Amino acid sequence: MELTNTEKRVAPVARPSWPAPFVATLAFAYEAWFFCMAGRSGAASIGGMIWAAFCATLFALIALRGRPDPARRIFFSVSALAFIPAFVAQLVEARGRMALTGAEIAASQLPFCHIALTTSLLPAAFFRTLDFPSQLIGTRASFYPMLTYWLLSLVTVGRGWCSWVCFYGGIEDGLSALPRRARLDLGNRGPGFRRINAAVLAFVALAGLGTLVPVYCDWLCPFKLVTEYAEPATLRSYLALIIFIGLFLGLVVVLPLLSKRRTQCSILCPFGALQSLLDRLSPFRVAVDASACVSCGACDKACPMIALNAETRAAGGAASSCVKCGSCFSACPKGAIGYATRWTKVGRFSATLLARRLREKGGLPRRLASALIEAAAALLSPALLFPFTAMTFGMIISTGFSSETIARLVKLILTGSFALGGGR
Amino acid sequence: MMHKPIILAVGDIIAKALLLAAALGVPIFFANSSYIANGIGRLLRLEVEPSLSGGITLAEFADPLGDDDGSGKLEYPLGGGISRGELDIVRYAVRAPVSRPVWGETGAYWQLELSFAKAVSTGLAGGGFRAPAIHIYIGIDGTSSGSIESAFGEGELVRFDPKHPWNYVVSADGWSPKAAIRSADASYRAPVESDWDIARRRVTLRIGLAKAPRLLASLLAGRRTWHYVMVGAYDGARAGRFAAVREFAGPHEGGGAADELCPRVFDLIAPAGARQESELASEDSGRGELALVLPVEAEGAAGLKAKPSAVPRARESLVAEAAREEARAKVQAKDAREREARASSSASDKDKIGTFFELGLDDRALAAANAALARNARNFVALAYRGAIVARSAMEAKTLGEKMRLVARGYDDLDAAVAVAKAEGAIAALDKIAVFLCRASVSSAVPNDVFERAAQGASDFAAAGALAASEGDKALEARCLEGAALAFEKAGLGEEAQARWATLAAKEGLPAATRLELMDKGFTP
Repeated sequence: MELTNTEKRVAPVARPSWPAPFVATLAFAYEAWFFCMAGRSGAASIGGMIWAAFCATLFALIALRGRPDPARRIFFSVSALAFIPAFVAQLVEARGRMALTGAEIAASQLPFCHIALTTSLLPAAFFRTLDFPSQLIGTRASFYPMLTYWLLSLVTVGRGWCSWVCFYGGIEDGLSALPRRARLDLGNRGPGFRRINAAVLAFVALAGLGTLVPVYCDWLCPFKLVTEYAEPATLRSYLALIIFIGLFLGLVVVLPLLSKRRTQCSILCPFGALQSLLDRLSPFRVAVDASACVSCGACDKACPMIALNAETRAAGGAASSCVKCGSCFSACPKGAIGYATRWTKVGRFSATLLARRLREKGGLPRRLASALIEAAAALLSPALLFPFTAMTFGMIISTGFSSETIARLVKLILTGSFALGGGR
Repeated sequence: MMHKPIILAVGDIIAKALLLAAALGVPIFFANSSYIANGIGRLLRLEVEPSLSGGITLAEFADPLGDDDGSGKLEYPLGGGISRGELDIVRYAVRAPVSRPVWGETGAYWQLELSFAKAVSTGLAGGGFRAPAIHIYIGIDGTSSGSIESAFGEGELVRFDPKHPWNYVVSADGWSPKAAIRSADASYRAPVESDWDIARRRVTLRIGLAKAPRLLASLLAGRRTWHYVMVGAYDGARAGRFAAVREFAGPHEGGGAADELCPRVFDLIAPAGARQESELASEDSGRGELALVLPVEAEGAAGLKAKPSAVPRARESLVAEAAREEARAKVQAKDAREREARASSSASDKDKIGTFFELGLDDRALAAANAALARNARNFVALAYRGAIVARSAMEAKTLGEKMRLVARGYDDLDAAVAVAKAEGAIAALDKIAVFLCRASVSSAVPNDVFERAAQGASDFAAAGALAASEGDKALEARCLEGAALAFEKAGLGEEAQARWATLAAKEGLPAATRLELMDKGFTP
């Protein structure tokens, strides 16, 4: 039996029907409560409670509206903003300053972040050596835990990490959304940016292998300014500091404000390039229903990663740099873009077809079966499951520092002190 | 013609089931991520690039806890900010010199590390005027020159082994950040980078080798060294900064000195076969002879490569001994029924609950704990056991939510029990130990990524160990030290764990399994 054109045009963004969003929201609230409250006491438990409620509310908005933004963007930007004060306050409390010294490096006590994986994977594989002075295990910011999070991300969110989980990306994502319109048009730079990004990854990975030095962290990381940096003492360290400031202001602040694009994530970040390279392992993708698309180009303009253009739309999706943020869903006037399963073609087949056939056949048992199938299909739809997966990932990763920042703010309001001291 | 939609729908459902697996996999993964990360760690066994982390460890020396009393009688100076334990070295490590550090600003350097039993006071951190003073005298293999006298006049009031004269001395103190190195003939002096890490109770000394004289720089070739490591109380008015010791302690001097030649050393690293007490009590005031101190030897990187290791054979025999011990323990476990019968008829709630708990009879232990709590709600021992049983029951729970709920409920009881045990003064040490161990065993078992309790578990083990030591129960103290070390490792506090392993290695009569663990970690029990 051939499917009709109407049947093929199953829009991937169809809003999940009742009761799927409610069930998913309840499940999310349940896990948010546990992950944000587990093991916390005192001020930290208040922070955890507020963070859990905040995340659950935003997820409810995503589930009920059937599109991620603006709730995702709020979650992502707030978690990035919450990361900085918690991280810096911890550094200042532990060592009295943000700047590193040689002794701290030699003690292997630097926090390990996911971007450093790009420089560390090859030396670890070939020499069984970690080319970064961090702990191997213990806190989340050590090598083995970060490696496991990354492996998990590959088979779940893929490059969606960059719009739901990364605690740096939120700064740029929030800033790129601030201006009403772009003053700098980078719309046709997508392929070029992707090539540069892949080259940065190759350089960082091979330089790490060749020198056993985390070159990216040493010279190119724009986020040193909001985390930690080597104490400026020599010409070399001053030069590195100038590069950090330049990259942060240029790629993370100014260009996103001018162009409404995430320039650092598109051009520089080697972890993003690595996620793009391996995104095929993720079961989720962003799909364009080519038969419903009217080629208005609204999604191209809305995409912060310049991952959409006529060519990718015709091929039924976005370029490999797509971060699965869902900004394009809201922009599409036809609702032709949405999350889809990696291994099925949009509109090719669906459990909803079976449900419709059963309903058309008539009879109470068939109608009941049809309703059940539709409810299950809605609950299992990528439109609901991807935000659920990605936001769970992001929430758990950010819970520690977000709830800590909230707890510190609560303490600041109540006692005038930002210091937390033994909240956990 | 329903079959095609059915086939398509089944395919769709399979695809969506994979999505569901991804969605549910994330929270399940995170609830178990510390186990997964540990597993990956055991599989990969990576090491941080030595040139980034201070160089490979050439030698590591454990020093017993609580021996910061010199020859056995020294007392700390009165007043000031220093307290017992702050002059107590528990570990000394010698790293291999790093010729080309690949990150950071320093040129070639050599790193020495000391760990203390308690947070070291430093003037910079506002720890008060009193602080530790450290002298490390270093002899370099193959040199005929050197000295066997102190570099600081009276200094420490010790003499050095004539077989191993020293060539360089490193001096550091917690009052000023200016550590320094000087040669025996005083022709070379240079600053040393010193890092006093109060949180980790560790002092790191980095000696620059880039512009050092030829003899010192020759360490880069991997030469063997001898180290006299001594700690005294800081006194800024004296040469060498070691405070005097007299019969009675005063504001500027330690007490407990047997005579005027009593060494001013509160703790030192003694070589294998020697004892600190006898070394520091070897002075002869009648003949005017100072106490003789002996160095510890650190093999150079070159020698370490050349030396055939005797470890595999020793390890094999330890494995066999551990297996025999395990077999003996199994035989002893057969008396479990007898113990159960004795506990059932016991009038003591604590005996009853404790024995049932140890035998794994959780239902009976829980019933006994509840009955005891019904009689006295402040029975903190029963509360602690109940908490541990409830948390342990999480292992049997089917859902993640149920597991977490049970652990959280267990902690309610455990935290309350520890709070009572800490608040009430007149409590038997054994009861306190039971309470600390209950919480420690739960904290070291639950995933640290979720509950972040491993560090607390380690502290509980350490507290129980200290109480066991005060009760003279050496076997329990050793078990607690091992538990603390493992929990610190789980919490990522490797330095703390190392200090506990080092202390454990200095203990005698350890079970073979523990000695095996120590051997695998590079310690010689």
